[in-house]
Amino acid sequence: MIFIRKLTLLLLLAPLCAPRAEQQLSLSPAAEQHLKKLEEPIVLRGDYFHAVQTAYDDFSRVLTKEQSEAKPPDAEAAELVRWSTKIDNYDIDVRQTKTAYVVHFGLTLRGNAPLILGGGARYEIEKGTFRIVEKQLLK
Amino acid sequence: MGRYIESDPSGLGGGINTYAYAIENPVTWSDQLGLKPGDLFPSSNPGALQAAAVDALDWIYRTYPNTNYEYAGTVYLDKQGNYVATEPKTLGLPRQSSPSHPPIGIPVAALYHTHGQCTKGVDNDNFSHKTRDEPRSDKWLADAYQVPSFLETPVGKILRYDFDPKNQEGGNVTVIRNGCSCPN
Repeated sequence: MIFIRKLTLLLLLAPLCAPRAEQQLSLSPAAEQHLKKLEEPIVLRGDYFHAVQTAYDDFSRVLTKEQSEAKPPDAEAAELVRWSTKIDNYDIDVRQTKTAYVVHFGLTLRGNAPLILGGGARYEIEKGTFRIVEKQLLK
Repeated sequence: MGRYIESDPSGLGGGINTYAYAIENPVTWSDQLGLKPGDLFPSSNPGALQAAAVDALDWIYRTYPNTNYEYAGTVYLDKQGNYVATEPKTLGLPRQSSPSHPPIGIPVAALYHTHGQCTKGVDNDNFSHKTRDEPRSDKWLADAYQVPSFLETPVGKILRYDFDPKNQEGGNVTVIRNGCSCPN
């Protein structure tokens, strides 16, 4: 139940109160379409969920550590750090190869998302064992 | 390293003569060496947009050579027809940055950011991610906003990413300045 709630939050809800930098860019039609897709109901395979859960737990720890070590120079940056190190503000993509699940995290453009570069992660989770066999943090 | 050999990167794109600019703007001009972002690059010169971004990227690594924080900013076209880079901002994070923006009402023409220092377990040398289908990334963001994006890596390589709607791999990356890769 906890996991279902977590997944629902992660995939369906847009952050309503996130800070937004001065936004003078407009999204392309393709990006708007991508955002619409994120609002649609999803059916998720159990094994995909298991893989996501493994990566999610690890990436949560990464973000918590990064937040604790951040040195934002001002209040605005501090707010952006809080936003960008909150895992609910990431979109997750999961797919599979023959031997592994590949789970990607990327900061969302949903809702009032600020313009932030970098910060995602890529995990490879071994099929069967659900161990992390490869992990790359992205800048 | 070779990163700081060039005198004034503004020369790359025919940036405006700094002496002339100082005469016209004696109060605001504080970049006597032509290094601080904000130099003017007339859009009539080929490569001016890129030169403004490179100018800003080099300024960051010159000013903060040992920082492991990312810095980011934008390039815009001012009312006089010059490309100008905004002064970069940092969040105080090693893997994320939020670019400074142009004055209100002026659209962004390009994004630029740095990748701090080489960090183990992190992809230091590339725009994130690899394909457009993956969640938001440096490339995806540039695609979404349909502007070029510039990146300087920790070892002095400068990359340019251009939106290409026909390329499913997410557009084209061009190496503007060669450099080494971070050790794994």
